[in-house]
Amino acid sequence: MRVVPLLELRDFAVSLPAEPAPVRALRGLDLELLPGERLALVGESGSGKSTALLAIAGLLPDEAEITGGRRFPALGREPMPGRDLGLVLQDPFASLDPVLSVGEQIGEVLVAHRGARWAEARRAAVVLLGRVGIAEPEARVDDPPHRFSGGQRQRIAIAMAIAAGPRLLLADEPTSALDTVVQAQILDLLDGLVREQGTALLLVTHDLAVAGRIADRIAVLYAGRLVECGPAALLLRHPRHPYTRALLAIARALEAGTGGPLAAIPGTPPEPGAEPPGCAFAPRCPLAFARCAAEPPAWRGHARDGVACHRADP
Amino acid sequence: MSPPAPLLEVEDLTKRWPGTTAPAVDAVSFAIGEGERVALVGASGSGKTTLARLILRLTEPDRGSIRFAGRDLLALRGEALRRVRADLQLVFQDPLAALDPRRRVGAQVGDPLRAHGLVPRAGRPAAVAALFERVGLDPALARRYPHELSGGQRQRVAIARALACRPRLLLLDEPVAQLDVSVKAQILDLLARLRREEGLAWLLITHDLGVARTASDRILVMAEGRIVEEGPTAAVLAAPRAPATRALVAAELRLPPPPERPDQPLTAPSVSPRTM
Repeated sequence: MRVVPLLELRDFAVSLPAEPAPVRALRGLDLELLPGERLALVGESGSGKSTALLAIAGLLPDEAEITGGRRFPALGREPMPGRDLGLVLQDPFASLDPVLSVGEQIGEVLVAHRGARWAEARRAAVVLLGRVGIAEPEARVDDPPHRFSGGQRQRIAIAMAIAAGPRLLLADEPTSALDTVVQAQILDLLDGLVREQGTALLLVTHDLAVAGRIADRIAVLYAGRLVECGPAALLLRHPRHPYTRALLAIARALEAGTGGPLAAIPGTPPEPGAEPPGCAFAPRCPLAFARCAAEPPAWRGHARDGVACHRADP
Repeated sequence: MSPPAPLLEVEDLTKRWPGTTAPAVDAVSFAIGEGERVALVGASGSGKTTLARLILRLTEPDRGSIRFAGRDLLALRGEALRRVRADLQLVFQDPLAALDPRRRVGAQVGDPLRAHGLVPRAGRPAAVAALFERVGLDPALARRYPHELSGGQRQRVAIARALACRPRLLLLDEPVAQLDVSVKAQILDLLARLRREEGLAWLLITHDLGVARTASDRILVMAEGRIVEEGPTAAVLAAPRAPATRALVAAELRLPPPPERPDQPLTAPSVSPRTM
């Protein structure tokens, strides 16, 4: 029996208003997420990964022009942020109110979405703070956010995001502002929570090692299009798209510190307003041939596992 | 082979911030030789940033000494300090915070040339253009404002400005932490090339052990204000001894190793590459 997906994007495109011309942040994205699945959306600045996350959350500005399909089949309706969707951002300050206590903020989610009374919401907030690893939660629940360290604030933002028991947790670079030790702790925490609760996770990151640590599946974006997606372990060991290969080669060279040039990808991504007729990566691709610049590569494979490259086998 | 002459010598440096009990920097001593690449790693709050601020003399230590090229940095004032400071330049994590948003980037790269009287006014545009080229930027970008550049371009501008005085030591404070992987690689390659060409030394502050492996020969590990481990970068990170170093190494996210037999090349080209 086929599992009903939690999220389905079909030929999904987003244009954002800008001067002198609108920016086509997403140029036709096909993506599928199953209940309980953990998907990492990997890309560099301007790839459209954060736009995709905001679009899925329904948080794009009103002026954004959206085409294509965005459905939540397993839910059967538009998700309600806070209840069906939890959101964790890079900067926990962006999701926390500086004047309210952390207990009030977590409690508010439960009052608004789970019909809790304030007294029980406060008790539940204490339990949640404990679950995300805040020591002595009973003593800290009435403290405002600034009394906590950066890593603790991210834990609190996660407690808020999971408070209502959402089906889907959306996380935008949740650890890139944190140091390595705290980053590993927060990834372990996220990993444990989504496994325990069977929550699906869509994690946006520029870091393939972060993706490999937490995701079942990885989708790589370049210039607003999906260039490759597949099971995480397989994609990291056998990347098919030249862009994925280059990113992995750099990341491995950096890890190993073997010296010599890092084989940096030459050039820069296309300008946001550019409309390359062929593959957007072609001008930087070591394997490009005439067809790449002329004709956009078709998707080879299927929605959950495939690659868009004239030179790659599916 | 005799060890390289020390360029920077820090001894017993100690700083306790008012209202705190433990010193942020606690009896720290180390030296950096001419042309040496040294990394300073540690978790948040370990004292890395305070140590950097002390070396730059943005704050005064409670105790200890800093010598730069044999001169007592803490005793220097006015013009003498300014001259030494030209040899010791800083590159920040966030170039946007380091650049003035209302001035063109070319003018900002030219500032040190004016301030230190290195190049007469008439020669400055050409000198700025040469600096842009050295860091791999199109000199035409000099007319842009910081927000009109990408993150990688802005970091190149910050590096160009740091190079303007032909420094001997760069203090690199998380110079690639906010950059994309491919841009990170480009900036580290640029720094490596500049070091080869100029014989620069650097103190690289980072929490990314991969960056430390790539861009340093020697590593200092800080925890609770002290240097808890020190040695050749590769050796220290392969066999960490201090608990703080072990914790850093254990927390590092590593990619799964590549397959032992490399993947088959992608489908053979019907025409040779690069004929587009």
